[in-house]
Amino acid sequence: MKHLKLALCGVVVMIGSSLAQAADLKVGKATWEKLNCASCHGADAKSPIMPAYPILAGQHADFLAHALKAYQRGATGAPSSANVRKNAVMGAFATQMSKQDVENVSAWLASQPGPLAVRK
Amino acid sequence: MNLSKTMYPNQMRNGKSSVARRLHKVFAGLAMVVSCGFASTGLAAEVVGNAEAAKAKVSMCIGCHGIPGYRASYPEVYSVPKIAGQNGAYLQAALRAYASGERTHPTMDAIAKSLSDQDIADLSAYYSKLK
Repeated sequence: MKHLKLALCGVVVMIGSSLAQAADLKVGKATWEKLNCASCHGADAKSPIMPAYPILAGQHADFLAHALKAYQRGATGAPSSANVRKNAVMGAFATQMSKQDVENVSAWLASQPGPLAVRK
Repeated sequence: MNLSKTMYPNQMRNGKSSVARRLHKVFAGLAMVVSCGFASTGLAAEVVGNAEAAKAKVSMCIGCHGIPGYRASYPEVYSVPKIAGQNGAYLQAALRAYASGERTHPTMDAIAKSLSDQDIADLSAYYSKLK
């Protein structure tokens, strides 16, 4: 019985932590709106106000998360060997984001329809 | 407009002599002509991308960006970005950022530094149209 209880506790803890880790699309969309990303990247994340800005809709979630982390590294003085991006605007936004914010926004963007492809 | 203050303080104090005003106009005009000249040479020097010419240059890209599921691993594991269908101007900006060190990644730094302005324009035109 003790073992069963322990096992159940373990399962509950595992489910709990996986929920906390998993990206939340709804929260991701809310974070995208809160940070006003659309003011540059476009409301649909594929119509940026300038062509020099990237289309984000449908991009790989793990790449988007990597890019945001690279902006965080670039804005906090990490050495260039750490794969950084130095950009005043994106650095300022990225450093306001928690790990969870990064995961959520990236997952939501990746779920949006867009023209990006690996190849065809 | 600081020009008048710095160059002709005496005349200005004496109630803006006509000489100062005329010189002021001449300088303003010259400045406009010169800046327009720079702007137009900037446009003339802009490289036009040729997607067709890029076909001979994409071999260095497709080994990563053309393989579904291909991943890079530092400092986090991530899929290399989808670049087909991306904005051409953004692709150019990204390659220039790698070349300048504004953005860093060992492989992309080396590739971007090896590319001419024409190469960057051609590859960006090619990938922006590849959907």
